[in-house]
Amino acid sequence: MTELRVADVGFDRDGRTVLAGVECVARSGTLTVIAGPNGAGKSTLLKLCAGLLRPSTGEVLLDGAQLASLPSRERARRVAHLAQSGVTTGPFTVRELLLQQRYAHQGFWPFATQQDEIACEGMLREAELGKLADRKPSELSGGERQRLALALAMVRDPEVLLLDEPAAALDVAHQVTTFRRLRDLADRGKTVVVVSHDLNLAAAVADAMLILVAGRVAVAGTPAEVLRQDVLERCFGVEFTEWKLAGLPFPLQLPLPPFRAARH
Amino acid sequence: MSRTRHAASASASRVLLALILGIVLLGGALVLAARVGPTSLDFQKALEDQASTDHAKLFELRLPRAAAAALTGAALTLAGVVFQALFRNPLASPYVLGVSSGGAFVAVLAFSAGAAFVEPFAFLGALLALLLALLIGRAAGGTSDALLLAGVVINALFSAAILLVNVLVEPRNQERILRWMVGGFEQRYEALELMVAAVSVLLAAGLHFFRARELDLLSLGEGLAAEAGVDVQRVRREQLVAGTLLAATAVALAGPIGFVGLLVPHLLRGVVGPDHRLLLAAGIGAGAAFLVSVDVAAQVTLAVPLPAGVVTALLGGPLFLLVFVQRRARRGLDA
Repeated sequence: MTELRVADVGFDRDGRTVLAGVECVARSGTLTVIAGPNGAGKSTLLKLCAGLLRPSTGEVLLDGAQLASLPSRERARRVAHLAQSGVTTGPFTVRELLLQQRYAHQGFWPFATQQDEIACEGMLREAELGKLADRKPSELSGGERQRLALALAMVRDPEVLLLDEPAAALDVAHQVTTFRRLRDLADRGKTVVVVSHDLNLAAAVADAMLILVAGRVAVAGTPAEVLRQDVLERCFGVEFTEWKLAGLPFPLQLPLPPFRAARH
Repeated sequence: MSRTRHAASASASRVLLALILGIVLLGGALVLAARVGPTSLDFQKALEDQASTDHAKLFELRLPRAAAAALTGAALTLAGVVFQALFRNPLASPYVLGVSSGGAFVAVLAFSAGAAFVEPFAFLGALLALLLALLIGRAAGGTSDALLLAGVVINALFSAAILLVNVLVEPRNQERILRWMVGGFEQRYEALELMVAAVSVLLAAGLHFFRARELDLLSLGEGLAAEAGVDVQRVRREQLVAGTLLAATAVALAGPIGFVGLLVPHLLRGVVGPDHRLLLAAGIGAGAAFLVSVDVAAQVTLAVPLPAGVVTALLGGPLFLLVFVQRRARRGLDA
């Protein structure tokens, strides 16, 4: 049982407060979604959760231990962070990149073990990258690169998986597949935290949601608690249209501008 | 391309093969250096008759000279490979932190004071430049860019200081200084000196090789490397020091020889690919073989023997440009 706890965390950059008083907990087997307007501090919060940044105030704890103080390899074995940009260029092939990500599992001898090879081959199959294994990232489409990015995080077999907009460049089918996979990973015991702008898709698979506004937690709770018209309008500053559908536990929220009858 | 080949892209056996191929190349170059020179040498006699001048010429001139060229070539190649990864720039040279100017400055000071030999002074000067670069780099924020900036500043400073000393010294020392600044293997090498150089090259090569995976990851970006579990600050500092030890060794042996650290790593990438285990394993022998061959060619091609530094500069620049442009054209921006 893994527990990632963000305790009263604040973060300042160049004298500007990016995050203040942020509290949240993510546990094994759960999928947490962080949403919020651009510049609210979502990516920064995710990097703090990954131990890639040190909080200015408060603590980020992984099973009670300060994450930023863990040895870098142990941290990388337990927590994987998938950045917005990821690997987009470079001379290495998909397979080489995957093997490189096994670094945190390896010892002093600078060669991949059989276990690393097996993990890599498994990930190529799972992420449907088998046919692309000998290509370079620059030869992949946006969607393929996104799948590669997720595979690079997953091949480390981390306990905690932190993803910054993992479905941003994907077509609809791959968006759904990605979120289904994330749900599946959570069901298999991983702690999954995702930054996403697609509130409805995220809510469909999430156990918990959290909306950051200007560096503070504006609202947190179950998708049903967070995905309310008044809450979203307050957080994002635009009008939402609620759409109740039979069979769904909560209504969909669509940030649609008013339709103009003349054009339809 | 076959799956198995790539699955084993940097298996221990492939790395060993790269190392052996490099050493075979070096062996060929050393045989060439022993047999070919600006003056004639009876090879049979040199081996059999220990009292002959041919024996002395082979064992006291040609082979020590070839050994010095081999060590310099290996050092510059490995340092080039490493610095290009650390700075994520295929144009980063082993001298990027001002090592060559630092070494040259102290060597020039030693010349102007009338010293008979300058190797240890050049080495100390190179280390001084590294120390300054690390201090200035840290004061300027500790990033790779800050270090590059520090290197540029140190290079400019020491270059100016060299010019100043050169203006002030006696004319006969000026000529010695000029010859040394060109870079080459004209001086006599003592066994002890070569041994010290060999130990530092092997030591640094080991420090680099066992960090080859980190170099792979760092070549993708410091953020991505940190994310994958690399202790970026520590590895970068350690690799910079080891790489500079190599560059300092090269400067001490041969003066500031240019382009080897750019050209050979580039050629190697075309042959063995981007994996640093393969690059470093192949580079040690290939880089050594390259400079030994260049030095032999420099001695025999024209009526007058040329310093190796002149040849690497004359050939290296255009050749490097050619290789670079070709790779760019073939691979797009990824080259």
